[in-house]
Amino acid sequence: MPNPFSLDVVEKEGLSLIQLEGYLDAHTAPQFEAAIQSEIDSERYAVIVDCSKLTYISSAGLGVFMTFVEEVREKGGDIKLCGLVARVRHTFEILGFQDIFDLLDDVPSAVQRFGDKKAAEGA
Amino acid sequence: MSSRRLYILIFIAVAGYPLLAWMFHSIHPVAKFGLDLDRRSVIGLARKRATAIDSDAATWPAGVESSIDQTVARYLDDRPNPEISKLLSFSSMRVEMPDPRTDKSLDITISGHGRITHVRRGGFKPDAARLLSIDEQKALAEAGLKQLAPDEWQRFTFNQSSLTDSTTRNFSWQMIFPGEGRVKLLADASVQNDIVTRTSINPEFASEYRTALRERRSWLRWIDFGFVLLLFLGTLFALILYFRNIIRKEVRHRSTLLVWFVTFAATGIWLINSSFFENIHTNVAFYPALQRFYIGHLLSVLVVSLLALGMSLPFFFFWGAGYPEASRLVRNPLSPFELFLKGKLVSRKVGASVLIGLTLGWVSPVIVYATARLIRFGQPPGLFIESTFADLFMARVLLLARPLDSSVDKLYTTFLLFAFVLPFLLNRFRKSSISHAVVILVGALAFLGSDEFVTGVAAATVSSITTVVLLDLLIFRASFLAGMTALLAADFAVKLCALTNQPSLTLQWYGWFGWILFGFAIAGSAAVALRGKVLSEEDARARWFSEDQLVNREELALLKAQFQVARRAQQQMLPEAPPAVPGVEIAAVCLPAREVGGDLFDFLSLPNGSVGVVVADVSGKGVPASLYMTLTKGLLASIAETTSDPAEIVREVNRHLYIACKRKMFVTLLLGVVDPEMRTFTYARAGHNPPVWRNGTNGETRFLGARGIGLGLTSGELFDRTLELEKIALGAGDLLILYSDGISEAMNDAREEYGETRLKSVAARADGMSASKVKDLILGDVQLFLGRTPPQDDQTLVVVKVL
Repeated sequence: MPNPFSLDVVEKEGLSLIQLEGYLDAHTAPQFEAAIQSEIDSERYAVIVDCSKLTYISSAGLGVFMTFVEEVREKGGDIKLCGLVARVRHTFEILGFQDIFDLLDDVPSAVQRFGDKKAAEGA
Repeated sequence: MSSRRLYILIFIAVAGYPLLAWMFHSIHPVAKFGLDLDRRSVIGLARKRATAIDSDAATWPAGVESSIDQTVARYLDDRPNPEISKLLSFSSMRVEMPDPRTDKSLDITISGHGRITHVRRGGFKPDAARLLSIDEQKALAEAGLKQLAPDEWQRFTFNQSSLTDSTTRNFSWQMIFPGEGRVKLLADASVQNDIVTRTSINPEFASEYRTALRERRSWLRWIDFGFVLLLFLGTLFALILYFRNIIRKEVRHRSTLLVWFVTFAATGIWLINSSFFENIHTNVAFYPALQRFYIGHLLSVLVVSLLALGMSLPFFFFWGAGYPEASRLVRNPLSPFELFLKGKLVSRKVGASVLIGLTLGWVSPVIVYATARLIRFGQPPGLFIESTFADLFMARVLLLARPLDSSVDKLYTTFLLFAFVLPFLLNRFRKSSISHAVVILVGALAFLGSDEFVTGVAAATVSSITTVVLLDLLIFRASFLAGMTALLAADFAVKLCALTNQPSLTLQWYGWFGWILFGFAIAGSAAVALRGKVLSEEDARARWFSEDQLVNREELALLKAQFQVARRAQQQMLPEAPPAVPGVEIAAVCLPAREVGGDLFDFLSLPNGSVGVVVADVSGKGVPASLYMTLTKGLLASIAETTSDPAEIVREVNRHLYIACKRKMFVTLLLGVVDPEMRTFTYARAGHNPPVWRNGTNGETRFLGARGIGLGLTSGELFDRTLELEKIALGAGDLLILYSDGISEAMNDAREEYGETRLKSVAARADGMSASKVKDLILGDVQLFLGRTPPQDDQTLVVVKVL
């Protein structure tokens, strides 16, 4: 029986906010992949992934982040993660993902981080 | 089949068939209007008369065509005049005797009672020299007719004479019965000069009476039309589906062709044994021009073969279209029939189906007769004698005679609906009751007209619905083979009843002989059902797969074998034994979750003489992971020849893996170098689970978590920047546990993870144990935690104990 998973994509202050909920593994990773792909296809390269309701992530799920991060960064955007629960954060940190991605506490912080970067570029 | 069920079935048969025989005897018209003659006596009688006319006729071949006059039959049921009844017979046998050498032929028709009713001469040349007067001709005619009805002749009165063409004059007499306006007897003779070419005595029915009789069953004509339409549309639909299935490679050609062959052979046998063939045969085979090279005989067989081929063609399409559908059902009702076709006649499954069919065949005709009697209680049950009964009585090989028309209709309908349409519907409608209801409705309509015996819409409807419902139950509870056997058994049983009820002793004898054969058939199938061959696994499973899929199972077996080889290869790639490092004990194990896995451990002989211990884990499982694992191992082995710096080795491996993995996969790795002289452990951790270090000196247990990103995720710069090298000092009794997440994330039924905390506590308990013991302790603890849940990920463990 597959584990429940769902995602939502909304626009927040000019950025794409993908809200993940449930179990991200090999079965459900394709959904997530399709969501990011569609954002990229619509030329929205600034993506925040809200993981506050994400309970579990497997290597397949981690792979999805890796698939797109270089592309969005080349295009001037980024994928930032926020709201990671302890277990998921632990998984990310063992792998050293905190050195690849910005792992923030909540959505406003992530939005702020995008803003800071923009400001830095502007200056 | 259990012997208890078997005895029940046999008991049912022993009770049911006599019931059928009794009902047949009391209700069926064929039982009442008996046949005094069998084929041989008919031919003998005809030949005697023919020889009296022309002595050559003794050598001429003879063919019998029998028919049933429905109007006479209906009259005899409709308050007939007793005097006329004795003279009328609904059945007549026409014996054709052609002279193979000349154009001459003699046609003699004999009634069911054994009276000659027609004599026709063909090809006889009148004497041109002597011209007879009309009166002389009339005398000849009268003499001829007197021979046909010697006792009754004085009651005939002359009617008229007329010229039918320039050479033939027709004379007719008639016998009228006082008080009976519906029918009279007509005596006819045609004379050509001095040859009486034709004499006949026929009943002639008043036209109003004939029309009235015809109207009684006019509604059936629509049903007949409907049945033909159904058959045509069904065949068309099956044809389309058959070709679609060919494209999809779902057709089992062999069994489809076998179905065609079997139905062709059966139809051929029945047709050759019928009066239809007789008719062609005598008209074609003995035609003088065709006689010379047996062309005539060949032609008649060819005609029948073509007809049989055409009649059996629909079965070909029904099966070709229906079998793929049926094999998709949970229980394939067609499989015993297929086994039967494949020749597995003595298997239990086939025997059981045949037995069920044979023992339950009587049910359908009993229902028909019962409804005919009960619903029209007080009236005669309706007198329609199927014309194919005539074929039965005059067949050359009696017991192989053609099935009754009603049986043929039922066979076609059953095949179309149950071997094709129903499986097709069941695969498309979620509620199977809809499919069954549709098929039963259509089947009942088709069956409605097939029992010509039953008059009255009410009786016909009840019996047809009941019959189809029972057939549906039989086919889906037992099998399609059981259903077809039941239909054939019903036909055979009814024909046997017809035979035993005739006055002719020969026919009766054949009837009883048939019953004995029937009994043997039941006994034989019972024996096979109990003691026959049990199906081999291949046959039992064959119904689930088409021929293509059976081949794929072989491929699957091949794949499995290859997996075994790969697993062995992978096991062999792991170090056989840990290296001997002075002052240190090492124990290591790797248990893949599937045939091949994505974990590895290795020991590297570094250029400076130290030993590197590696544990690595590829994201994912199975074959893809194992491929990357092999690549990683190769990279480590070659890079470790060039440098002893763990960080440098790891950085190099990352550069290569980044290109190979294309970021979709990654490898976590821990490479630690044990320096026995300096008593240090220097390690680089590329995203891998932090090892457990139990300090033997102060009893502290901590995780070794230097920074480092997993391999294959980022290119050189970021990776190199982030990777940390940590060096720790080892003391006596220190324990290092390197592991993969197959251990730390092992999940049990309650969805709990084993966790690093438990691992830490096991390490704390392991003081004083050897590396090997510690390894076993940990594995055992994980196993205990998992309980009955099988491990979902590869489990790798390397234990380093400092002595």
